[in-house]
Amino acid sequence: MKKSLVLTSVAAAALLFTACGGDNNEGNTNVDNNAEANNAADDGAEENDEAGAEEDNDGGEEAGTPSEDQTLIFARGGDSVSLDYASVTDGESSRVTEQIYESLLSFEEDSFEIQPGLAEDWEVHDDGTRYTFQLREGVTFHDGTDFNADAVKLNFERWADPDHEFHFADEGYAYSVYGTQFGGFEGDDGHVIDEINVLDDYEIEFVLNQPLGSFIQNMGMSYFSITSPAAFEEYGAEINENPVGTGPFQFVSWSRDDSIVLEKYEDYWQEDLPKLDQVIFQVIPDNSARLTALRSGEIDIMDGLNPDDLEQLDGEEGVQTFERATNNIGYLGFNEDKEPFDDPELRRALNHAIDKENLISLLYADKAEPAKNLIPPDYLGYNDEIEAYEYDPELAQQMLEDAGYEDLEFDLWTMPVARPYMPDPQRAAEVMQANLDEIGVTANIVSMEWATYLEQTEAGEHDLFMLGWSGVNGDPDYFFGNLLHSDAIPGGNRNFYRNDEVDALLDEAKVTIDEDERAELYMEAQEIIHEEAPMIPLVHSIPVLAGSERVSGYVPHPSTSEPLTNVELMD
Amino acid sequence: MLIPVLIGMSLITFSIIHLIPGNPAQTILGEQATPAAIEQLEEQLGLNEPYFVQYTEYMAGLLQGDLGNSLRTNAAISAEIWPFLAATIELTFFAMVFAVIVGVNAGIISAWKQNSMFDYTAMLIALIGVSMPIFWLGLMQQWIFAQELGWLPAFGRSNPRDPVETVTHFYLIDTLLSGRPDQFVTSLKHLVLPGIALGTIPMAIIARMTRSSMLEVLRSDYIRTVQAKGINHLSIVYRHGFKNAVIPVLTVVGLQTGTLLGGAILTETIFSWPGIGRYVFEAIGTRDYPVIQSGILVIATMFVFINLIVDLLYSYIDPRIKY
Repeated sequence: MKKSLVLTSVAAAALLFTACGGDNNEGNTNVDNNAEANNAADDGAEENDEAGAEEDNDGGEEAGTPSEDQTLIFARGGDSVSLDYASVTDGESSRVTEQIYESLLSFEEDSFEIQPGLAEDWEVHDDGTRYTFQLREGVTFHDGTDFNADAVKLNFERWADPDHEFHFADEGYAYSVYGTQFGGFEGDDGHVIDEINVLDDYEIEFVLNQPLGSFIQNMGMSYFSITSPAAFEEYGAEINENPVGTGPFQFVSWSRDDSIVLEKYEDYWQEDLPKLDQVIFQVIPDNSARLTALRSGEIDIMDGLNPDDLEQLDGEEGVQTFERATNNIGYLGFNEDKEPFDDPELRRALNHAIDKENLISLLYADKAEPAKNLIPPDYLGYNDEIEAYEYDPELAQQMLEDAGYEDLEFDLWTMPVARPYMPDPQRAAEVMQANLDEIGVTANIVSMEWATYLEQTEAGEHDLFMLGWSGVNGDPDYFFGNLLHSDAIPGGNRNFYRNDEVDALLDEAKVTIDEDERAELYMEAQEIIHEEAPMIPLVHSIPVLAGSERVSGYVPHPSTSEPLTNVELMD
Repeated sequence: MLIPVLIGMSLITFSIIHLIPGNPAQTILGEQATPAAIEQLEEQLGLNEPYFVQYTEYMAGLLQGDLGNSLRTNAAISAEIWPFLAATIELTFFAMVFAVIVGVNAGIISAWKQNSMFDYTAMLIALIGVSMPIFWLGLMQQWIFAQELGWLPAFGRSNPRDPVETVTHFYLIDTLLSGRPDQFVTSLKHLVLPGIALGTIPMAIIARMTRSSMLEVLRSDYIRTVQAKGINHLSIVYRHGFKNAVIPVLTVVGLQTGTLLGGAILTETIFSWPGIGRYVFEAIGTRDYPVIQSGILVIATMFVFINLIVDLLYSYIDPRIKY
């Protein structure tokens, strides 16, 4: 039995290996043989077998053999801020904590489809105001203590209650994602979690004061993973440098701005996993230097490939590329509090002026989709009926003339840093400046340092500005609520877009549990938003990573962080 | 001298970093943070206090040897800064050894064989060296020696698969302490590319300075007297000549060392060297005020300290100089 399992995994790995090596353009985002999410009560071990068997169906012909040395080096541009996942929002932190910690639920390996995690089953009662979770038995934290309902309760109370002994407010800890996702903290009006009750050692109940449409999705987020209660006792506020979870890898060491070393957790609850013995997250700040290190074989996977380098890698021996499913939006926003951007006709006209396809081929090496809505296409409630504003400079010019605008001139605020949704903001600004020039509009490129940029756009100092947003839990509310709801002024709504109807639709969708009903509400909101055009949606980009061909089983997750449980190095 | 310089430094850095716009709480929480969360964090970090109060608190801590705590990591800076400092000192030391050995010898020989082929070539290389952008040199080195030839590693201080057991955080010392000569060699290999990249500009400056200083000395009367006594030419140059030409060279070496200690940010970025330049640079990005302040203070202190050593060396080398 055991032998055949090994064989199947080897075969599956070989398949992956050839799939990726063979066609770099495709990457391997579509290796989702077992995409059917299993929401129901599936035992974890059983599920693994199933996944293995399914992969076997695709049967590989030739096989690489697992390498002796199972140490994987993952190189990235910046260091983690903290290993206390709930108190930070940067992707470089969650990339690491995703290996060490687990949440009650988890996501499908390449989508936001919910799967069992530390909870093997869950139920929704009383119209979405009461949830019960059956926890997995026999799971231990890396310090040897048992995972149980008390641990879950303690973690949630720690984030919610500012006076909790492990909240560490005095040490500067803040759990902003908890606040955003659950409507605030204990004592706040909008805070939805009323009570958490331990029913028995392995059953826990959450009582909400109102339904929350994204509650189940939230439970899969890496921000709401479970830390060992004993570790809080032991390390106190230094938990951020001494993470203790239940995940496939346990923490070994961290030298700041250099590397974080993790090793296999031998008592991990999923049998025979993880496959790697050691994972090292190495900081290599310069993109070109990182690629050099990959080519010289010093590292195994690298994040942040320049779109320009992608073409070079095409067909290069020893290297493969991975695509991350798109989960973001890059946009050009209008400051509606300023004239003339308060005029929807002008905003619609400018929507016709930008050539998104050109932008994508010039700056994204075609690794992006043109956007017509705020949310990425895979999201619940994505309105595909909406007809995008076509690129049509003549029409745009005509519309401007009809609306009485002549010699329009304004500032085009340009981000000073690259983001996945905007790999080269300066050049993007130049391309769009040329687009606008074509219709007789003068856009002056303005740029400033990043922290300043964020502060000033929030304060409404800008005209037209460039920015973007990345999803974290696959829930549409995270985009709409933060970017276009009037409650997000000042804040994420830098368009200063205020529409009561949209607000009402978003509020209702937020508390609706039924997925179809929710989708309807979002679709309706998108129609209004499209008509009013508070922004020019530009692209949903597809971030690309590169790796050595020895890497098998690596599937990037749209959230930017994925557990490396199934990854293996081959010879 | 040291104390007024440092107080002045701290005042200037404090004012500048608070004058530039941008909010540490915002950068810590990221662009997707809510205003309420930002406000809450500001309060926790004491950033809502008046600047004067913040400065006095910081200075009061400093007097007790407390460099403050990082806003980003919560850790005490005095503990956090050492590994970065050690990394930079090790790199600077290696770069300067390279720069001095190559630069001084090239300068002396150029002066000795003035207007020869060697002189022209050496000075041309020096000119290129002075004007070479470090990032370009670094990337070229990586491409040739790491990617194409595979002789030397492209990043870091040691092999991440075989981490060095740290005691002093000087890897060349730590590897020997833990009895791992193989790791010593690895660490040395990691030093070569960044060390040469960093040392190239000082090397070129030192070569040019040595040459002009030597030329002056070689033309002086006493050298002619020595030559008249029939003493071998090269030994004149090294023993009698260089001894008198060394003062300006030493000044340049001191200044350059100080500059490298604080200004190696480009090299540290390209070669992923976790040094003090990157430590402070990252802090500027996140507006980690205490780290910027204390980091600059430490760099300034070292700069002053190295120049102090140089001053003391003057009087050792040339007994006529007295303080």
